[in-house]
Amino acid sequence: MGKILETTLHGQKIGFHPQRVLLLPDLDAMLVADIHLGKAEFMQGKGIPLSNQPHQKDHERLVKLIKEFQVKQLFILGDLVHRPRQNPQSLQRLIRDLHPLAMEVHWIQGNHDGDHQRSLPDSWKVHSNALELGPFVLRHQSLEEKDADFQICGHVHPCVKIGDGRDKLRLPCFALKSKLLLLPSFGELTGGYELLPQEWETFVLCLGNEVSLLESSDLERFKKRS
Amino acid sequence: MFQPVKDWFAQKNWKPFPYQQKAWKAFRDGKSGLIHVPTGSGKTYAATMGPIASMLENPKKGLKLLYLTPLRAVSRDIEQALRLPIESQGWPLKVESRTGDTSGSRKQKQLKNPPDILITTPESLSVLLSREGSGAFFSNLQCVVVDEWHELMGGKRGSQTELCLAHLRFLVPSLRTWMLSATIGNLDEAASCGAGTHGEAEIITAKINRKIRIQTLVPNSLDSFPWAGHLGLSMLPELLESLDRETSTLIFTNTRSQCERWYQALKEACPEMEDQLALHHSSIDRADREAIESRVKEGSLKWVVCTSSLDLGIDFHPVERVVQIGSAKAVARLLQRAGRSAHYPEGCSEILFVPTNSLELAEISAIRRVLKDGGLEKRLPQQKPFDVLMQHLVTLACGDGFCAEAYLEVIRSAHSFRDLTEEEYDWLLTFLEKGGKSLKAYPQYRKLVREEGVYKIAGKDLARLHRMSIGTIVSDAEIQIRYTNRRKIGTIEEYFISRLKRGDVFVFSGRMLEFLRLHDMSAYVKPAKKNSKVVPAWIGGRIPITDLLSEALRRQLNQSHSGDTRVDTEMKILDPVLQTQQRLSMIPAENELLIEQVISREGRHLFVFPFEGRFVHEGLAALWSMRFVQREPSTFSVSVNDYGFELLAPVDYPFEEGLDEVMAADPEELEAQVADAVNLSELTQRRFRGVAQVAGLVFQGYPGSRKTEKQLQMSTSLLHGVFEEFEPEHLLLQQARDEVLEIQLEAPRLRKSLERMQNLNVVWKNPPRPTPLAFPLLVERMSARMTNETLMQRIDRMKRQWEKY
Repeated sequence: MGKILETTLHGQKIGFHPQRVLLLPDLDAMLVADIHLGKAEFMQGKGIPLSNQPHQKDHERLVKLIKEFQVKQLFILGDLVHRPRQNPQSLQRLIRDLHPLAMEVHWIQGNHDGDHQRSLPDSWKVHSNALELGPFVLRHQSLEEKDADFQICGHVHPCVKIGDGRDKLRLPCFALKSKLLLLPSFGELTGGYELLPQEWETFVLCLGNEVSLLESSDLERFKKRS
Repeated sequence: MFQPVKDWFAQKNWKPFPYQQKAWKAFRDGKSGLIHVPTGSGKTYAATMGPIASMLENPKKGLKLLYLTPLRAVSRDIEQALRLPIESQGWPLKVESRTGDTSGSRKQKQLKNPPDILITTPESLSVLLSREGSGAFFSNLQCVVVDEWHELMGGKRGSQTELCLAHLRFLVPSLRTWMLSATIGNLDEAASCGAGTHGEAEIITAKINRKIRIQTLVPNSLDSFPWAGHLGLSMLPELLESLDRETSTLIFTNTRSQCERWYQALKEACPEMEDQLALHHSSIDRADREAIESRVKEGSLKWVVCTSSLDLGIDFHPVERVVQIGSAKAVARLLQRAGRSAHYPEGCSEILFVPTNSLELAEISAIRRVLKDGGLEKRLPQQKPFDVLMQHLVTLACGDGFCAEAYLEVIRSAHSFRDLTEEEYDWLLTFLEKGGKSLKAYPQYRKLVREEGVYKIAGKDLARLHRMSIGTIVSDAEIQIRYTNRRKIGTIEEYFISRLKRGDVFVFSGRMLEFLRLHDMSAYVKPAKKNSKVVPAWIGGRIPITDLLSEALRRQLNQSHSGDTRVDTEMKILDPVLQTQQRLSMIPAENELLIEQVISREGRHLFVFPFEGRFVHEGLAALWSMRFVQREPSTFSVSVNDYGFELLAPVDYPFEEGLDEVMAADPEELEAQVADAVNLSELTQRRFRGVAQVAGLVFQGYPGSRKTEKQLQMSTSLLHGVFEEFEPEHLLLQQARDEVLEIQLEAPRLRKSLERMQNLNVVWKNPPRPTPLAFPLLVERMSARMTNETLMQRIDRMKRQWEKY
């Protein structure tokens, strides 16, 4: 489904997957963030004709990735759904289809998530705040803390813009700096937020079937020229 | 019936023009039509005195005359013009304006107690139609007057107006409509568009002969006059010599950046004029613009540097001179601007042309030719813009509703939609009711509901959201520039702001500003202490030279090629440049296509000169690039202007070998090939933004909207992606695509050019260095644009470019 870029971070092997998930191969773990199931239905109610078919695609993609990498632990870093009081069909279907895959699912609550505990199977664990995983702390939204551990977070829907004038691209990406790794948003219907290159060290652009590594310093040099 | 009007005219010592009397009689005889006279010739009274006389003869309650103007500011001027006789003669008539500026309480009063005459904008008219009871409100309407129809007609605003008029005719079959228009090349078509497909239009022209005098400012020294570049500041000394401090002058520039630069240059050169000098363009805050317009009217401003922002509008009486910097690119535009200097029917329009580079001299010479031959550009009406129709249907649904079956005919009576098919109509209704063709994909969608054959809005919340976004003027993603006290200065495109750091100084709205910070779509600035020459650029496409003009230009050059001595001042000035061109290469004859190949340190340049306007050249350049690259893979840089295009390849690229194959154009396959070459999907995505906004698919909101509205904001590129993947036959996608082909690529003109080029003799030259024709293209070249790259290849290429720095 795509070529992963593997590297080591704090002694842990990690893989950046172009389909916008992070793999921790030694733990058979997969990290995903910001799926926003139910966003289409919410927009429809306001008279905006956004099809819910992309949610179906997200579902299929996720299940395929889990099967390909034989994931035993799935970590959802928040905003699995779009509206806290919604219980969209797409969520119910996802829970149903993940059930036979014999996984632990850890759902770290994001600002869009709400009170779903009651409808979840036992294999799902809901975390209201942070969760430690090896040398990392997983959160939906990052916290500013001195002497913090290395955080892996979602929430931002990071994108980076490269190029200029008529020749520019805006791409979802992983963003890395000394104590923080941001995951791109997984859902097709999520917008993106443009990061400022000067605030980051490295970007890993997600191009669907491959990734591209970008050092922020290169991006800065180009900008200064123009 | 016209006695009261004649009495008033007599009192003012005015004699009604023959054309005015014709117009009044035509109205009395139940006719609709179009009045076409130069500005300042009494068109307002020509159109309105007929209905007013009728109202005085047969008093009835309710709204009887509706006057539509595209400009808010003008509505006040029209109101004053109409109040003049009403008050002085004591006519028992009430006239009011209604625009976005009108207070809520006044609007309420107008609804409860309609005035006899209402002056409003097309958007405000739509909002009126979106209210329940609009049928009753318009039941006694006798006449609609539409101002600046030539300006409205070519765009979506014109279609919106046509749909509103069609609806009003449906409500009141005896309605008469009168369009006011400036001179264009297709008046008959304009008149019939205005009257609708079932109406007949009488065209009333004033036999007013307005002469136009075009003067060209001659460069003091030809040696330093640029062959290329488009600022023209080198002509500043000459312009200063010809400007007069006491004479009210409008100085037109072609872009906002030029407007800012020239304003700064004039301010620095004549500091004593500072209080009487101003600049005016569309990105300056509206309040400031209106203040400037008032000051021009009262005569306290003498020199105003402006863009097309001052093309329309009420006659500025004090203005005596018009200057045009750079070519106006269209004959009609030049004529219209020159007309700003003549205020009496028989007055002479004068315009001073300031060339910014050599070839523009040829353009002005071509304009003279066209004017002498009586040519003028046509304004082509819009073809079936679905987004406008969708918005209109929702507007009606918010109000009294519309009957599904009966309404198709009403829509078809609007000229833009005369070809609307039943399938398309059904598709639109399904879309508005269900969201899309598959019910499963839109389970929660609500917009319109159908009750006993009548479509109505599904909820008051949706009606409220709809009314807020009525209109066809699309907002760009622009950043509001404000002082720290939040006072607005104007707007600038995001791309410019994103490059600024705290402390950077730039010029905008005539001021030196220091950038502080960006917050929430606003950029905060303070007055800068130091100076700067940095002026924002707006990426908005430059308008190409019209086909009427480019054809005349080719003929003009051809004449100098054949040594025709019937030359004017401009061609004489241009002579040395043409001699150089002839020496290094040649001047193409009308049946020749000149291609120049030059080798430099940059690589191998191919210059091609079809003289067909920049949009056509963009299509041609993309097409040729693709075809060359299919033969022999490579990477090209591309540059275009109104005269031709350039392909820059590595130094050993075999252009000559591939030329025949590349030029063999099959007009049948053209659309598909151009689509491929220009990456049509990306262009369509950008165009879709405007279409989606007008159709009401996304909610724009405004800064400071309520929280609920913020949550509804969604990028149109996301919606476009979803449509492309799951609803590829979506009519709005097709519309965006058609708009790119028609408007952005000028596909019909491109086809004609290709056909013409097939019959030309190709003349291949290898000049030792770039020629006067080629030089502007060298200067123009911006970022490289490639074809058929995968995403990864494109990123790798960008990375490699950075490594050079």
